[in-house]
Amino acid sequence: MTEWQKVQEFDREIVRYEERRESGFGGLSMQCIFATIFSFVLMWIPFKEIFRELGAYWAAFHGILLFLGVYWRMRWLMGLPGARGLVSWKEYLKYVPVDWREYRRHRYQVLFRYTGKMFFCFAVSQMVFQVLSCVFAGTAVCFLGIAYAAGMCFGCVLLPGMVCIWKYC
Amino acid sequence: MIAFEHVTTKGKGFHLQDISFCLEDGFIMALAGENGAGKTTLLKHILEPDISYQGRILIDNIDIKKNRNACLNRIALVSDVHTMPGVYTVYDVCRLYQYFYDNWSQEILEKSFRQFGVPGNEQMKNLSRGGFFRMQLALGMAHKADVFLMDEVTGGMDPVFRRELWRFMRELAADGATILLVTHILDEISLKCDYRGILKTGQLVEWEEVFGE
Repeated sequence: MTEWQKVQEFDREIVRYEERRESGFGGLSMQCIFATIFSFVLMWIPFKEIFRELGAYWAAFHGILLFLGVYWRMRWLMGLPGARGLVSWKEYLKYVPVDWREYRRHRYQVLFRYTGKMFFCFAVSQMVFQVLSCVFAGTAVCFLGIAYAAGMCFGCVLLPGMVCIWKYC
Repeated sequence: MIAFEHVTTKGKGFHLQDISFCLEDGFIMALAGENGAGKTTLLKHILEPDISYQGRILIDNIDIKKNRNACLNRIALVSDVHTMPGVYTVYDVCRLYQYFYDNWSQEILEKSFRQFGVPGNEQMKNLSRGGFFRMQLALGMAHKADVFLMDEVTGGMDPVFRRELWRFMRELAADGATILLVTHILDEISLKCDYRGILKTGQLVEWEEVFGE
């Protein structure tokens, strides 16, 4: 087995384990997707302001959850929680026969390999957001309106990015 | 075999100064000295890639600077300083690290776990100090290491554990392994080791056989 294959095997194993351990976060991502769809449905019910407000809260809440998810994933990219807080991959791989730089190279390669897909999702979601903003223009009311806009922003823009980071990085 | 040839640390900070010794296969060497004398630093020179030094460190005649991975394949570290993920179980850690070793044997790992009584399904953060040492020994056995570096493994441990550990170390040495033990316990140095080295402010001030004392 070459050094590079060893690194990939290690990565496959640790990703498999992490996904099993943090399946709560995986579930959260799915929940956010459905919640965003649900919030859209609520928005489309005409002449019922209360549904619109509920949808806004709902979307805003899940936007925050998504933000936490992205933060968690980025942290994972740097290292894992160990005996003394967040421990970098360099520390984990210090005493095993592999150059930890190989592993770092591997992780960033995985990240950049999917950058194209992520960019596509961001672009599409941004267009959707713009269209929906036009559709809903004038319906935003006071704070709830702002929360709604923020929720839409998180839901439409960050959600696909979050899913991509989660899935591929 | 482990050999230091005029190893002197480069750069600022704590220095090792002109350390030279050679420990052949099948022997146990104890390294003693005051706190801060450089015992753990000496181990770090073997293991850590970032420390810059002059001279050579050879593991089975391979220069660690030139082929670090081949050397680490032959080394087992037993120390209470570790960075393994606390929420992982012992088996998870073994599964993660097995890919890096060329000679990994799952059968030997299982056998060693049974022999040492290592709880494979226990999370790392719940392992006792003794349990952690046992686990590291089993890891070393599993990847068929022939150089064991032990940093203060007997200090603070109960007599039963120490007796078992010494019996095991003797078996290892009889099978041709080289053991470098950092310890403060003088009885062990004079009664149970083959060689002793005394470090003082980064210098090896004494290095001798202790056969038959």
